[in-house]
Amino acid sequence: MQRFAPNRRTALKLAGAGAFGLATGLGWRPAFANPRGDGFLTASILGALPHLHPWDYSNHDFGALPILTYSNLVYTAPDGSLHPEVAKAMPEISADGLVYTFDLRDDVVFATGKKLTAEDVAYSFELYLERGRRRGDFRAFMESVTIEDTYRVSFQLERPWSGWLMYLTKYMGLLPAGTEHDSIYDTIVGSGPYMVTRFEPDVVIELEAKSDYYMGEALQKKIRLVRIADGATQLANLQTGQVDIIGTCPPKDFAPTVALPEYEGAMIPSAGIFYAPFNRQAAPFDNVHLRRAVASAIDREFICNELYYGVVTPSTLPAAPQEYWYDEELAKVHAYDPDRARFHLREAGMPNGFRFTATIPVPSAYIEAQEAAIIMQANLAEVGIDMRIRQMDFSSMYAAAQNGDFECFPHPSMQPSIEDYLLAQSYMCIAGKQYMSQPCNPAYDEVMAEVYLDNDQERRRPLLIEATRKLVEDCTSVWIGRLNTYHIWRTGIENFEPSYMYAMDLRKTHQPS
Amino acid sequence: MLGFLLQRLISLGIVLFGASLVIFAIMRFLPGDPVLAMLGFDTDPVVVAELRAELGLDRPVLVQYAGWLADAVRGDLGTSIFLRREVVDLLAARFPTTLALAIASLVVALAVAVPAGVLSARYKGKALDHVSRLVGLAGVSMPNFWLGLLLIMFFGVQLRWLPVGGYVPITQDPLAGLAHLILPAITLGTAYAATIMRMLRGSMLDVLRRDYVAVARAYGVPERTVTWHDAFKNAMIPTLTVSGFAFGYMLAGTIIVEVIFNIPGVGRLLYESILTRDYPLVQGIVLFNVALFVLVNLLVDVLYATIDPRIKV
Repeated sequence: MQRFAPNRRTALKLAGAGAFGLATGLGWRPAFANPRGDGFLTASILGALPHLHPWDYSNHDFGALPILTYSNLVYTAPDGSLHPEVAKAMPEISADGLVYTFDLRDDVVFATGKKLTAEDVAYSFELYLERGRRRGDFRAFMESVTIEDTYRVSFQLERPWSGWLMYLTKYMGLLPAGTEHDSIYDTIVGSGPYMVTRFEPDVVIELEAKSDYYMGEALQKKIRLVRIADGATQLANLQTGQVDIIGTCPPKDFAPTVALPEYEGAMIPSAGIFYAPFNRQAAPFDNVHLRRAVASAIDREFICNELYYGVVTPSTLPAAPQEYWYDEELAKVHAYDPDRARFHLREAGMPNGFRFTATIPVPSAYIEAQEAAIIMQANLAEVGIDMRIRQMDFSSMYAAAQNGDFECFPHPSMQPSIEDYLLAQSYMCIAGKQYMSQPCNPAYDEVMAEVYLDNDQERRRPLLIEATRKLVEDCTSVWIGRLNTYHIWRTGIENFEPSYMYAMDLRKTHQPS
Repeated sequence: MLGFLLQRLISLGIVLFGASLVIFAIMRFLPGDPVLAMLGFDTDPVVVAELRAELGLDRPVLVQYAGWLADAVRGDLGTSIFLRREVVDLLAARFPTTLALAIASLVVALAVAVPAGVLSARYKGKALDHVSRLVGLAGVSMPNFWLGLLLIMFFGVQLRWLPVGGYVPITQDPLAGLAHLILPAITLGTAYAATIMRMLRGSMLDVLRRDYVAVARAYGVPERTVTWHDAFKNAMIPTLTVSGFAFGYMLAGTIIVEVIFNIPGVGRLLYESILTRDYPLVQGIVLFNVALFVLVNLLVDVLYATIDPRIKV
């Protein structure tokens, strides 16, 4: 029998292979693979973090920063309900829905050390009307701001729109009077619970809890927001412990990951929607029957449950099935029914179908529209409709939508609110500025004006259903489903939940040491 | 040499001017609009017009180009529309990261390519040669985003040996800095390793057939010395050109790797700026990359002359 006598080279090879095998088998993990333990709660977000300005953001992930650093009159809780923030209570609203009066807390302090008064609130709104990125929406309804006394301020609206309170919580942020607009791109002056201690544009923002925060110092002393522009990479960062909470992940990975003991996760309906507005001002979709044919031919259940693994909740209406203004009977009108689609094609005088082009954004935000478009194409082919797909990046798509250069536009979209914002923008004549809202319906305006008198859900429900009926009758869009906000975080993280407003709300979140 | 350098610098100026014209025109002819990308399509057209005027995008395209070019000649590449910072400052902040990644990738590429190329030529037609060429082919063919994801899954998520993303400057923490560079450098370096390896193998085969090699062997010079001392040095000259090109491509072509590994370098900056139609930033980065590429090649030409005195630049 030949004796095993390895030479130096063979011995080295064997030693190397042995070391690799041992390291793999014993689960050796070098410290530099996960350089954490620095006291930070680290959350990753998908959208850009270009600056610190609370009003000037072009993606909804960015909202995580103003939530931590600025305050508003009211705030939106993760479940979508409104609560007073620097206001002592919810506002007094006049019967005609035109005057909102707020009493302010007297213990709110800005990062500059100045105490907040009615003068700061009035200044912030006036500056917003002049320079805020979304000032167009404000200008359309806001008439004036009046300082009643040091801690009392009132707002006069041109027309009722109770939705402005929720809208504000997303796009506003109160500043000390006299603040230069451009200075807040680089400096935080707000009265939120955290201060920025490090900022690398579009890379990382580190924050530290303020001891003088008027609602009490936050439990979590240090928070880090890192920008990771890809869902799969976010998940890999969570799995290696480089991140504690992730803003998103590929939909298929959500359920398998949260089933593991190391992670927790949750999913709730957000103010986002996946829908396909029609260009109703030009052929072929100036014909309501063709719009209805398309709406009835789409299998939303398959798209939402099989393709998006439940991160989109199927709905044929703008309301999600669990929302107070959802109506089951109305939902049946454009439910998946190829026979009804064929009926509408006959009614339109095109029993053999027709051809149109769907413009989709690639890459999309939140979910990939491309995948759903392929299923839509197959669904529509079943009834003889030939849907062609035109892919565009978001920037080009915006321009196409603004110019009316589209026929149908399936895309996911995050809104400040569905009933208080999207419904106003979709069909109201007074919205008027958006191509997709045209042609409008004055009768719809009348109903919505009543809806927007206040936020009382019981009173609003029948009115919102009536408004939805008009949208469904005219079939302004194919409503495919409502986007859910979903996050995954490491087990042990306390007080974190996804938010209706989509942006992460980390104000109460805590990572026990 | 001085004349050569002067000539190359003049041609650099011409190349940069051409590149500036092309990139400016491409950005303006591309569909899309930075203002709409910032505001979304549900924005008041009055506000859109106000912002367009604020950014100077309402001026005629030629006026915009002339203004931008005049500033660029003075070293002012403008201000990023989205990040609201000087393009030059952004490049200064991000370039060291990309440079570190490119250097690490070149090290990986050469560390793999040199021994593989030399041994493949030395053992031509044998198993080692076949394996090297097969691996080389795989390296060239494999898309780097796929390789990157495989490395993340195996070394990051499964074994947890290396971080899956982010960047730590080596000057701040050498160990963590190197750890963060390993996977992206392998991802970026692999394709170039294969290219360099194939070029080196070809050069080595050529050199090994030369008379002076046969003479050295006839004199009984050990094969290892013949290979590494006599043949390798001469075979390195064409390889140097390929390596120089590879380095230039690495510096300018880190986009996918930086996005996958979440590395805040120039590549990721370029990717984001294209998506948001951040005109000044895209123009500035492209111009910078063009200049870099030309300069790297100039450096390679100078190195050529230094290594081989027979070559005159």
